[in-house]
Amino acid sequence: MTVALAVLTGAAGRARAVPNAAGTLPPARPATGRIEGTVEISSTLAARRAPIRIYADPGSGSTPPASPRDPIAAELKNVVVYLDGDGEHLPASPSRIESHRHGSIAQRDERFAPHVVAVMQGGKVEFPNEDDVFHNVYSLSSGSTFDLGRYPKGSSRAATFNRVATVTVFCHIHQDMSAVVLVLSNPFFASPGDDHKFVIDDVPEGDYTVVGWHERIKTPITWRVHVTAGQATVVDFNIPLPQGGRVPR
Amino acid sequence: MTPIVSAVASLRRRTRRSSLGLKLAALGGAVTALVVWIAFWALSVQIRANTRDSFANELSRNQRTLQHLQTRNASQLLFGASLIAQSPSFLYSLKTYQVEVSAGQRPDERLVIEIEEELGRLSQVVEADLLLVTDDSGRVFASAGPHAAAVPRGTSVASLAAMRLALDPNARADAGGLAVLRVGQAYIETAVYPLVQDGFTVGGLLVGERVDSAFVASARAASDADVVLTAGKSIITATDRALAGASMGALLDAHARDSATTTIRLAGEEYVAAPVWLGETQEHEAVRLWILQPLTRTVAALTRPLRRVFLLYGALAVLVAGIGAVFTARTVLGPFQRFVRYMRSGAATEQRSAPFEADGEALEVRTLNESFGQLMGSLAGKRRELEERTAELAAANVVLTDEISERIRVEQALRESEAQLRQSQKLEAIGTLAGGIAHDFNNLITVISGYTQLALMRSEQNSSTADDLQQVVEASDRAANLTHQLLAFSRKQVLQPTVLDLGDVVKGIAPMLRRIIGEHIVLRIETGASLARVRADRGQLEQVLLNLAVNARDAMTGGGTLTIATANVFDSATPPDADRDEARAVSLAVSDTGQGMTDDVRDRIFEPFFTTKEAGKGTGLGLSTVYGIVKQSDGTIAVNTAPGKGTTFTISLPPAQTMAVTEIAAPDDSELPRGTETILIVEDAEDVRILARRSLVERGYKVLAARNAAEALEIGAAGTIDVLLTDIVMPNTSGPQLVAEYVAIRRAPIVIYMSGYADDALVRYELDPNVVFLRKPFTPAVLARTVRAALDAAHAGANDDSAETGGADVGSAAD
Repeated sequence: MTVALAVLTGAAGRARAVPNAAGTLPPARPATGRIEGTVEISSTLAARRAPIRIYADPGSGSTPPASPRDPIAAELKNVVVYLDGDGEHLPASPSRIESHRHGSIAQRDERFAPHVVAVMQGGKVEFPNEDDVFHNVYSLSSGSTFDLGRYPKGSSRAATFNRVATVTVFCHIHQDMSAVVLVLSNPFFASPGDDHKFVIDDVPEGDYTVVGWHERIKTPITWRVHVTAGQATVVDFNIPLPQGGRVPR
Repeated sequence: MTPIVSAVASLRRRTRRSSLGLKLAALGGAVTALVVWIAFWALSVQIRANTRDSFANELSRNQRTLQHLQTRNASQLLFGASLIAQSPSFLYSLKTYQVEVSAGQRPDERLVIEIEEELGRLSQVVEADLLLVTDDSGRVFASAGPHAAAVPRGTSVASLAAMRLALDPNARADAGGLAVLRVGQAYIETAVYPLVQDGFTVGGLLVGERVDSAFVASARAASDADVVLTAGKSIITATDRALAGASMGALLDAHARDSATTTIRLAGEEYVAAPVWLGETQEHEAVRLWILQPLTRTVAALTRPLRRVFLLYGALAVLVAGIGAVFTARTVLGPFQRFVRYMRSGAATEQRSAPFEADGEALEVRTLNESFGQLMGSLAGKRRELEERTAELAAANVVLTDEISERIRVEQALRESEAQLRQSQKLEAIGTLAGGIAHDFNNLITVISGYTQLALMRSEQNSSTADDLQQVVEASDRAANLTHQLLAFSRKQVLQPTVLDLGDVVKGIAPMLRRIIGEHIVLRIETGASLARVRADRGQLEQVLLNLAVNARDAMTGGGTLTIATANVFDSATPPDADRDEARAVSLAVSDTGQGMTDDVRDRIFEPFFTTKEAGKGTGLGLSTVYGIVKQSDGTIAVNTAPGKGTTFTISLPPAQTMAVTEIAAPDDSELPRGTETILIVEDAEDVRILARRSLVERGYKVLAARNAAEALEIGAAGTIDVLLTDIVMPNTSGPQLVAEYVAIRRAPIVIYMSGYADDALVRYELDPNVVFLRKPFTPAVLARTVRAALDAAHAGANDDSAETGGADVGSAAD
């Protein structure tokens, strides 16, 4: 598996510039290029411990939610690749900014879904409850402490994130539930799809730090790239660092 | 030291020599004492084993109880921890903290404070001695309780086995366990539990109770035994103060894992001990609780009264056994002592005076008596055998001694004959040398003498020339005499032996001897009657007597007696009055009363030119000549001498086998005969040939000369010759061979052989002993007479009978 290989090489990422394939990328703005690449993720980041429950769940039975079938694929969605830098240095179209200021995290099967949502600074995230039970949404994170209170199925509440921060969201009722809202300063970010690929379009020409983030790595992975207008810059991430400080062997 | 050693030795000696009865008594007492002691010892061992087993059983039970209590305590602790671990405060704060770190942010300290406050509240509730929350790498995040100060934030407790398990992402979310946390001097038994949120580890929780003297006291109360708490090899605390200071030492290592009871030594006493496992510290020290029962003390308490009882009854038993042994000894040994007294009396008289009355005695004594009887009988037989054997040995020894002395005698004789052999071999070698020289000299002297005489014949009588020539002739004669002596010694001269009476020879020369030895020496002649005849050359015998007499004279410068004695020698077995025909030999003894000789001189006297006389007084050939003549005459010569004791030469000659006696007529010098016959001279030495030819030509003969056999045969073929005068030893062809070849072609002439060697030439060349033989050196006169005599004899023989060959038995060499 590529994971193991990547762990062995120890490479955190790889960047190279390749010529833009002619015709495949209609230039939205003349002075922008594209950052694209793949993300590999360590299995140890995705390994989940067998859960135990001391208290029976109030509500729908006592069985805990099943683990995702493909833990690595599930964990890929929790990776966010973004450009480091504030909006002034990274001019973006208003439409792009608007589209990156919305997010939604549902409460479904006693989980927050999706687990990670990235929004641009000032963005608003909805928390609709789709379960039969009550949920609570609140955060202890510095600068964004909030508590949306308990609300039943069908209702939704929203929180607005005005500060750049990494906000962890919990349900006070179900201690295993958690979500992360990544509040970023610009709209240039993306998460890899099931095919591991991510694309960040319309990046103005210039030098940038590309950041690969996951909630359980101790330090974000960064990579310096140069974006040339009309060209795609490839950045590959390998996110090997496991939780719990376990150094890969 | 020495007095002790000697005292011990003397005691041992005394013990060995002491009576059997006493020994038996002592042995009985000793054995009984030993048995009693062994019984006591075995009992002590049994008591100790029983005590130990009993303690072990009791401790085992207590151990199980304590273990059970401990397990319950631990599970309660663990259960409490598992409950606390569900606290959302810990989970959410840690999770938020973790996520903020992952984004590269500086986490909010409020999160930490939140956790610490929560811990503080909990510690109040659960009365834990220590509460810890760690992050997901095992570093202390927050702490609470009385010992919290000793565990600051950031301290790693990841080395605890239970902690490692709790943080293992692959372990169950309730994985964890017990450990003993060492905090400063305190040991805290701790339940470790993971903090897990949504399947991912966010940290760990530790809930601890201090293990202290109160804990030990409760264990003592539960087990009713001494209790010791150990960590590694050191004792943390103990119920007994004496034990608290002791060290468990290496014994702990040996029993580190098993939970079985064991016997250990602590503070100088033995204890039966059983461990209860509490856990392992972050330094991997094993922390155990030991319950102990004092083995040494308990056994001592049990054994003490027992020892008193054994001492009392043991002493009694020893006494009884000793008395019993004394009685037994008296009963058993009595009959034997009587028998011993009997044997002692028998030994004193060296025989069994009377048989021992054993009928009334015990079986053993009767058997002993029988065996003793057999032994004595066998002993007597052996003694007789020994005496016989000794006598045989003595006889054998005598025989052996005789054999040895015989052998020594034979060896002595062998050595002497060896010495004689060596001596004769030496003389033989010298003789060969001397003979060779003399032969060559003979030829030279013949020439010198011959020509001088020829010159003398022609010179005027009484002229000075004639006188001078006469001197030369005399010198030549002396030289010829010298060579004769040498030849005599080397036995190479020509003898002309006759059968003669030794007594006659002695008597004949006696007047001459008297003149030679002088008047101060008395000559005694002792010739036995009817001596056996011997075969010898008379002239040579006279020469022998003369030489011996001269030597005797020279040995008796102060006067003395010279005795010449002849006698028949018989074998020792022959009676003394035997006829002379039976004589083995005839002896001729010449004795003087002179100074005698040393052995060294005696051994060399027969060597030529060995002399003890002053230079010029002796030739050193006198005794050599004697030796040669005697040997050539088949005789022996012996010397008996010693310094100051005189010398006796004894000559033995074999008796002659025939009675024929032919005396040679003394040659007549008056007139040399003449003749006209033809004579062929064959001689390789030119001067001799010429001399002979000239001598014969002057006598009127017709003389032919040849240098060798070939020439001789050539001349012989040309015409008739009457006399063949030939040398014996010549190059290529010898004289006899020449004669044989000559006879084959011509009528046999009269043959005259001449030679300087010649005695064994007769043997070597197988000459007819009757041939005429002319000895070199010869004078012209001798030559002339010999030739004439041979011719005359041949003519006479031819007239008497029809002689086939020229061989003539003329008187010169008749047998």
